[in-house]
Amino acid sequence: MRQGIAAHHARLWRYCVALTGRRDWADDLVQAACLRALEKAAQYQSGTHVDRWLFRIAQTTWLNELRRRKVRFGGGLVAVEDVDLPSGQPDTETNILARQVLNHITRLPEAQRLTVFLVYVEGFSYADAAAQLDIPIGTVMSRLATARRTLNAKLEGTKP
Amino acid sequence: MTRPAQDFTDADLVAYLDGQAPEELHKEIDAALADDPSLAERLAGLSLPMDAVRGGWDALLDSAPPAPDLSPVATAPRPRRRLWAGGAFATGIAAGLAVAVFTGLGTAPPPPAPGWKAVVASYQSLYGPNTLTSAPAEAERTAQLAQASAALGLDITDLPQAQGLDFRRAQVLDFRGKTLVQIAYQSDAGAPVALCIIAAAGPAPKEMQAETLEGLAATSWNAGGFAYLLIGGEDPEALAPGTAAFEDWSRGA
Repeated sequence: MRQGIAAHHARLWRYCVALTGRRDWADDLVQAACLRALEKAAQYQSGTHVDRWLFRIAQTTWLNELRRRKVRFGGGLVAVEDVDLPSGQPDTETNILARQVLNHITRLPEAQRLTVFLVYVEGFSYADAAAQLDIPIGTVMSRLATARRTLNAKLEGTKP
Repeated sequence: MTRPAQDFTDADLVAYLDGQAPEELHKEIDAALADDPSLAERLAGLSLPMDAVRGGWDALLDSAPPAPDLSPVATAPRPRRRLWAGGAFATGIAAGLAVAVFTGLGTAPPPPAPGWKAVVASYQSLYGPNTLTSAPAEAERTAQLAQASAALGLDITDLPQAQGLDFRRAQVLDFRGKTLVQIAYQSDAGAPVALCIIAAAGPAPKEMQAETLEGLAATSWNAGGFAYLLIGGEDPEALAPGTAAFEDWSRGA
């Protein structure tokens, strides 16, 4: 399990960014999720995707944290930070667009943000994303549609 | 007969764009597109620069923090910035196996820290059949035993060979500030097995006790001021020869 965690750590952290919408929270969440994964290593069924299992653990850990604190995020209660890309990347048009899109996605409501992330970044099928998030496929599709409309409008507004 | 464009929901169109629409729906949208330019506009309103979507998130991977040291016997806790007051969210990794994650103010106190056998068992449960497939050269393994002997204060360089257990390596670990030596073996059946030795709390010997820890067969005993734990595999019978050999040795038989 330790090897599995090490191999998927960067992607797990990125998923934590998608979950929390913030880098600094992702740093803490990924750490907590790794610990949970070690504690639950015996429950992992070999033959299933370790990465998806880790994603679920991060998700549950995050939900528990939110529930415990009874804090609602994504409703404008918490200031959203830009998730800046590592510096040192040349400011090409491509990179500027990628940065804009990334920040628009992190500002989506959590449910849409996660669905967009799983399907468009991690390449999950609708069915896999639905299973991962424990929602019907129809909900995956409607979340994607809403997110696409929002993102499309925002990007349209930033075009020269 | 072409379906009118307004029949399609945005979710249908997104599935079409994502190549995840059922074949029939896909064909219907294709047909409607040829008839009704407004449908193309709706599709344009839902389009995204997918390369940029992936590119932004992929670039983020480069700035992921390094994977933490997850060895359960990692030493001193590393204090971390407390992100949320009262939460244990930012607790150091090392303390992690000992404390429940997310025990915060107003919740139940953390359970008592597990004993050394539980921690070893939890560590051992992470070993798989491929963990110990290769072993360092014999000279290095001998050196490891000498180093472990020095750290432990007990000469283990003359540990007996146990039937069915092939010696792979010796490591000096740390359990809450106490030296813990782990001698790893691969069993004939391919199971990773470890003999762990730590200074006992007192000099009194203890009878051998067999148990199951984390689903693993285990035997433990105290002798000569040291506590011993032999653990690995699921078959208690398979541990018997090793237990006999190491216990006899530890009692000076």
